[in-house]
Amino acid sequence: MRTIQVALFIASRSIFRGNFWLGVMTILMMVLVYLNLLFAPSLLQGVIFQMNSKLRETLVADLTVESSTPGELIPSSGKLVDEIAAINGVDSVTQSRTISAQLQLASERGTAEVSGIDVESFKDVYSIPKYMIEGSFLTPGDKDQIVLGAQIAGAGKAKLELYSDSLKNAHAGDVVTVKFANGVTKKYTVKGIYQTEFVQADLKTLISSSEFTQVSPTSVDKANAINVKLKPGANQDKIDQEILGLNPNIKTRSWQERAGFVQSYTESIQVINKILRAVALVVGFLTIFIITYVDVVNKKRQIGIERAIGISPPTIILAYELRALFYTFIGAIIGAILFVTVVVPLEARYPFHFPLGNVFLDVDYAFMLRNVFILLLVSVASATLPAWRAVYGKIVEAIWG
Amino acid sequence: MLKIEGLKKIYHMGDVIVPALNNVFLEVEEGEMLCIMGKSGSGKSTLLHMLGLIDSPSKGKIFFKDQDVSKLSESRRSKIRLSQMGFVFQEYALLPELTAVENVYLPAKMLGRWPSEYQDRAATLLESLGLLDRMHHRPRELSGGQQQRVAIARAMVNKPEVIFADEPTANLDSTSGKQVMDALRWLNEQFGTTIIFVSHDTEDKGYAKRIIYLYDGKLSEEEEG
Ligand SMILES: Nc1ncnc2c1ncn2[C@@H]1O[C@H](COP(=O)(O)OP(=O)(O)OP(=O)(O)O)[C@@H](O)[C@H]1O
Ligand SMILES: [Mg+2]
Repeated sequence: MRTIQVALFIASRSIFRGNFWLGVMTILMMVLVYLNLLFAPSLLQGVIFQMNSKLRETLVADLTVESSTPGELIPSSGKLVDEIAAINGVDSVTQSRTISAQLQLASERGTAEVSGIDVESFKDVYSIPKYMIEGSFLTPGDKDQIVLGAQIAGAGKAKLELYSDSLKNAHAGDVVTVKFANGVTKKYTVKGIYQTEFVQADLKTLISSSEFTQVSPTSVDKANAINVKLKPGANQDKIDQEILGLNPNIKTRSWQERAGFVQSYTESIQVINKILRAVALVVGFLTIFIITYVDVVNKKRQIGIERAIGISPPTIILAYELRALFYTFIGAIIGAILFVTVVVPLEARYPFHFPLGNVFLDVDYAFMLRNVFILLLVSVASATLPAWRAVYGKIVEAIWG
Repeated sequence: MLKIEGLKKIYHMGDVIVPALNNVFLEVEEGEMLCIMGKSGSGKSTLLHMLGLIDSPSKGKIFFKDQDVSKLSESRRSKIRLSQMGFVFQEYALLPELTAVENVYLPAKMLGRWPSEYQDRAATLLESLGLLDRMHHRPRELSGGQQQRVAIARAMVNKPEVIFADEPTANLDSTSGKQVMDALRWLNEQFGTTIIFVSHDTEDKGYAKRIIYLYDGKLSEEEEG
């Protein structure tokens, strides 16, 4: 108790009466260290968040329902869609049929999946219609009209990842020839082109479900997949079980399961994340270590005198630790305030553009708080080392240098 | 009150062995004002550090109030220094970030006294040493003599039984030096505090009730030729 009181006394005097600019610079360093600790993880978290939400809003929604027999279609799919839509917590449901096809425009050819979609419910589940770069999206009952993803259309954008395999110069209004896998060949007018910046989604082509049944009459009231979007906060596992209870011949896959190919990116991102955090912590450690070390060396004689007059070593060490805690704490608080009020809004105004689109910093208060504690621990450790060494030497040598 | 028997201190500087004190016997009575004199390097500071439990002897015994303290742990010795001894060093011995009065009461705070108690005592001590108007000044704003008197007040704050002063006047002009020595004598006479001080200065001799001389680590009660 006495130790704490005296240490607090010495620490507060050395903070407030010591070298002002040294204090300011130390705090500034800790601000930077703290921001460093937050920035990359938040950005990378933003990337992961972006990947997951793009995946959900353009390709897989929250749950995918399929036939439990591979290759089979879901029969009486219209009824199942209605039943799923009635489940509590379900936001919207849409079904789709798919067939692969070869597309041709002049001499350019490309292969793509053609999906027959229920246009209205598709718009509820997916946000693809919001990403139109040319023309417009389908309306229910559209005949001879097709909407192309940018990676298959090419749309004259030579920078696209898969441009060389695309139709290269397809634009809204062009007529493309589609050779379906079931042997049917038909001409379609390109009604619109979308670009979500998510390659897998931009590889698809869409036609209305009525058009699809023209091409493939056997698919009436059948679906390859039913995709389910949940309301925010809905219990995914519970709804999953309810859906499975509706029909014994179906299986479901969650978006998490379908995120497998995104997962590998996520993992490498986490590794980078850990490295950057470790570097930030080492910088924080060294900052406090050097500042304490220099102070201890300068005050060697003073420490000797403190000990000679009976101030106990733990008191002196604790004073250094408290001082380090103070600098770190103030630095982290300023860093946190700067992060929330300056860095995040600034990044939101001038966002980083990643392959999947603009990425925004993710603000996670629990994570921020945890980092304050981590930094405090690191700074105590780094103050203790030099202080300990200085204090447990011989008093006489300290006094006489 | 303090007694040393057959005290020996050897410093090791790498492979070189430096004998600083050799077979020293000394007894100091309560209330004494003892001056240790001797040439530079004769072992005066070393002897003071042994008596003040700041360093431990290579050989021999030290008794403080009939207790053998030569083998005590550093934390026990630290407690004795804090509560029963006071120290005045040659120079720069105040903590620069504390004001005069804070420097004075720091050891009292460490001893666990109440602020009301130690603040008054520190102020009273500074007042009696003529430093009332300098109480809230930092050491760098004080003259050498004033700093040394603050150090004396600090040494006094826990009402020690003995004060050790290692050349307290060495860096002062004769007027300030006299003030410092007057302060020490005042403590000795007013409170009966035992004072053991080291000095080069023949003027300081006049303040001592007893003088001992050190010659190359050996003690003598008489001044050498
Ligand atoms: N820490 C040390 N390491 C090695 N030798 C030391 C140490 N301290 C003192 N000595 C040696 O011990 C001897 C006695 O030193 P001491 O400091 O006691 O002398 P002193 O009488 O106080 O001298 P001065 O009047 O110069 O202060 C000297 O030879 C000195 O060099
Ligand atoms: Mg000396």
